[in-house]
Amino acid sequence: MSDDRRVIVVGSGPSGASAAWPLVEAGVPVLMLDAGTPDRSGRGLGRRPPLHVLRTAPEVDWHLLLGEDLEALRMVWPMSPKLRTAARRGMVEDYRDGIGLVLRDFVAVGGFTLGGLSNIWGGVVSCFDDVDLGPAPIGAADLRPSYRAVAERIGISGSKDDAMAPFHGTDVPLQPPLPLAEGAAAALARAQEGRATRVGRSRNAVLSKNLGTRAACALDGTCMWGCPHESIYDAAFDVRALSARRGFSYRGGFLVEAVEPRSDGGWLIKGRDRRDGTETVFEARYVVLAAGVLATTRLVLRMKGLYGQSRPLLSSPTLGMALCQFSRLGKPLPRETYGMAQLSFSTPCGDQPWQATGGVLFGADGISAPDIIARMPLSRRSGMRLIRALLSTLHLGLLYFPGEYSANRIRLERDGGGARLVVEGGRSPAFARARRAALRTLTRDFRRLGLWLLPGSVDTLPSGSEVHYGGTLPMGRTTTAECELEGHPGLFIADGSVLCRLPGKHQTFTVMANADRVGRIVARRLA
Amino acid sequence: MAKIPLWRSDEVLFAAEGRVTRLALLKEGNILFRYLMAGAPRPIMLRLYARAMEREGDVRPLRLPAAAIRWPALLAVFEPVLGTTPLARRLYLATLILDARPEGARRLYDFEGSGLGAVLLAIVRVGVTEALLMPSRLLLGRVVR
Repeated sequence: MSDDRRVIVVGSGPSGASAAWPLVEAGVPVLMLDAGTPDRSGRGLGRRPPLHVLRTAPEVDWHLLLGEDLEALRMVWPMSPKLRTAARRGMVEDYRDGIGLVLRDFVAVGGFTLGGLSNIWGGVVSCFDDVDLGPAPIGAADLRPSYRAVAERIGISGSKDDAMAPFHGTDVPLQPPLPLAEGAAAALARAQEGRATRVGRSRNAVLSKNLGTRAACALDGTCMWGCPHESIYDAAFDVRALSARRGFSYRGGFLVEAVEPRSDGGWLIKGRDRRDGTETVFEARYVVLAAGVLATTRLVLRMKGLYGQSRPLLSSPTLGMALCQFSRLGKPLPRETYGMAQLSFSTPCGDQPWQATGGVLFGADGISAPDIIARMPLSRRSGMRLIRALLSTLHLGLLYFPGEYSANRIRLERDGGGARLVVEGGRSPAFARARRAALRTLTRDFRRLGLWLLPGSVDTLPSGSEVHYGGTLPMGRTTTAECELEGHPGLFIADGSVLCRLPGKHQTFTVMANADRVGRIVARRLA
Repeated sequence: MAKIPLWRSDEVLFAAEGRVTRLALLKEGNILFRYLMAGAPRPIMLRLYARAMEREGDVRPLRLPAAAIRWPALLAVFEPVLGTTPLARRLYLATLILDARPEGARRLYDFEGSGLGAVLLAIVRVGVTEALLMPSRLLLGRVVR
């Protein structure tokens, strides 16, 4: 199947969709190959009542929270509870088996699902500045037009008027911020300039105003179960919109297993249908790999025959924590709320500009109480009693450290006639010191906001479980500034693999902006 | 005696075994929910519990101590302090079922606001209970498998 005007994009996640948009808009035919299929669990989507009704009505349909086939009745620890509540059962396991992953001290989260990991994305959005981009041969200015284009397309709500605005970036179009829950608003009101820890609203790929067919957030609190109003961005919405455009075609359920150079300069994309095993070869002059860091790295290492060579895999060491706001003791849980990150913060973990952590705070009422109780050292009955008493006071925090504190390695190994990707997780010895420094500052500054870190609640999450990883094929080294694989013209990488560093920030928005930039570069080449 | 074909007898045996396993899971669920709720669970909760275990392929009933079978509240002394023992895992799944049912959600979420006094009392009660339970949980927390 050859058509040299057509560009093949591998992957339907946020980066694949973002790379495809500028191509389609430039009139370039695009074929998106995706191992995923549109099989989201769809738990009561479109007909689900607000969370407080599900919790208080005398009789509710248990399917709405547990799923028709009890998909949500399982243990996914240490991964995000959203993987339990919103994702299809087997999503992660299928992915690991499908791309032949061997994991040691590393948790890999991926899925063969239309929209990729955006199915379980919390939607937190930050721009990278020049420090964040590190030694990349591009600067923040190179990404600016793409940040704006992606922000306009997906819809981002947030504020440019608080202490965290410079951290998130001030040069992107924003919808008005979502209303804060009472507790978050009270904490933010006490935030002051001049403290080591900056605190502001979270910036989220969640609509506060309608955008196209997607509706504004209804504050119904069920975000963790998948938004029934499509307010939270999901790349599946992009694929749906792209499918209505001329020149775009989508082939789902197709697992790309190998990318090989064609003798005349183009590329062969070999793979099989995951449902019936039919093997197919596609051809194109330009290919954009956006299959996710691990799958893309596997394809590139295999194509180059780099077996047994270990290389770094950056990730953001992450702490989970619980904070109590005693001023809310005895108060009722909010009936209208947004269930994902409400506040964001940044605190230093060293003296250098790059030694900055970033974090988010969620109201604990947005997730299932059993997921919190299971992490308490209390007997279950006491845990239930305590959570009922304290839930309205609780904030759950995630704190991300720069990728310099990770020490993961990744390599491809031969496995019979195939190959397996071995990932070994680890953290640098300097992490312990950075952790202490950040926690000391954070504990003091949060106390001034009326938020008390609960003793024993700080937990270092297993490497990879935060799903912030990348940097295996960095720009300027393995790939060019245009994200074309060195020595392999026409093969572009558009996911987190090309990042040169991971700051203590959410990287998805930057990966999307860079993918948009890659799509524009390829469109220009074809023009 | 009529000869039963082998495949037929296997099927009968499997069906009988399935019924026995399900019955054991329903009984186990009954004890776990009685512990969590301090009262009798509704049949739908037990059915969900058994289905969840079957769905997970984890159908071997727990070997619960006789005392805990008689007085489910005693399960507290067999709960591990941390970690995922089979008992902890099944209690987690049982609380997820409670979470999705109004009679359970009432025990987890307070949309009315109990007031400061009631909350402080609950915290003190939990503190005292856990202090008393801790030594036995440390000793017996890995017993139930």
